[in-house]
Amino acid sequence: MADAPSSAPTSAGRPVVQLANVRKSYSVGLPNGTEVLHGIDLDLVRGDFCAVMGPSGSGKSTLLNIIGLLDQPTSGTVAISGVPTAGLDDSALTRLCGHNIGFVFQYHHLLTAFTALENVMMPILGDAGFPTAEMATRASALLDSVGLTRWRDQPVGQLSGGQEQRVAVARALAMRPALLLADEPTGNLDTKSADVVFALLREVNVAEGTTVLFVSWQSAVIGPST
Amino acid sequence: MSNNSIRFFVGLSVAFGIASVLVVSVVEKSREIGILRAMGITRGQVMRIFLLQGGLLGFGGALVGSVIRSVALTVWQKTMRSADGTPMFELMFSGALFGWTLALATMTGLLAAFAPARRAARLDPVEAING
Repeated sequence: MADAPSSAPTSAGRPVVQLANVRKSYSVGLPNGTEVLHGIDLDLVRGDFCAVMGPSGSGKSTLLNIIGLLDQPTSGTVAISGVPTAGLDDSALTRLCGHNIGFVFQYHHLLTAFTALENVMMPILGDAGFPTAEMATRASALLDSVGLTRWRDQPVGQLSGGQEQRVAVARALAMRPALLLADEPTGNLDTKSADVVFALLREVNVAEGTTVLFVSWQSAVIGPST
Repeated sequence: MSNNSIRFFVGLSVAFGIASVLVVSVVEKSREIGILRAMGITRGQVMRIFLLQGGLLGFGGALVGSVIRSVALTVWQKTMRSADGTPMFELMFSGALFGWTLALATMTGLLAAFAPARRAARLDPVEAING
């Protein structure tokens, strides 16, 4: 990603993502390494809806993985919900990620041995502080919100691609994250299903104030970002 | 070969069996592990999942084995009789032995699961998700 421009906050509010001069190099098999992120500065506040576009291999997913705390930058600083990530140990990073960030991947990556409801409950199960009695209620409400009430007890393998991706969106929202990261979430879907999923991301952004960072190489699927 | 040697080698083969099952399981489920990590599941929680699986394999195996052994011995004792019609041997079921067997097998399962569980916990989420 060649010197990606900074995205200035579009509205005043609580900072959700703050990147300062983030660089990422890969050195596998290369003497000097290849830098894919060249000093990214990015500030997103609550309620932003931001699209990152670029061709394959330009570093979009790397940027998303760094913001999602799945990867570390070679240099630069990252702060999520105002918490600088430098120096945090793995447990602290995982907690920060679990409570603040939801992921939607290009492929839904649901656990096929489980039902839609159980898949949505997965992130909640990892949170020891969440009341057990409310887990199913919350997961059920999320499935209602993505229009999958009838399919809550279906194994996810029996759902269509669009329905699977809607389950993935519901799962990403299970912990009420401040930030939703979507890595080509419509890349594997037909146009109609892609429109439904994209509208869902917009709805989450508007209704919940969730900051959405959306990656795609297809300019057609991305409407005007706010 | 003494009884202790036999027990040792049986225990060793059980441990290797459980470990190999779990290593395959970690490889097969690495993408799911990556997804769980991306959803905020800690390395410790991933490790506990596989330790639990190892412990349950050991416990379940010992439980099923003990039941099959008890049934088989009972059937054999009732079927195989001496010439005068008396049982060829006395059956002795020891609750303590049963308990020790379950405990030892569960412990063996936990120990055997340690290396695969640590491997699962150390998986890089990005690599695991991308396969």
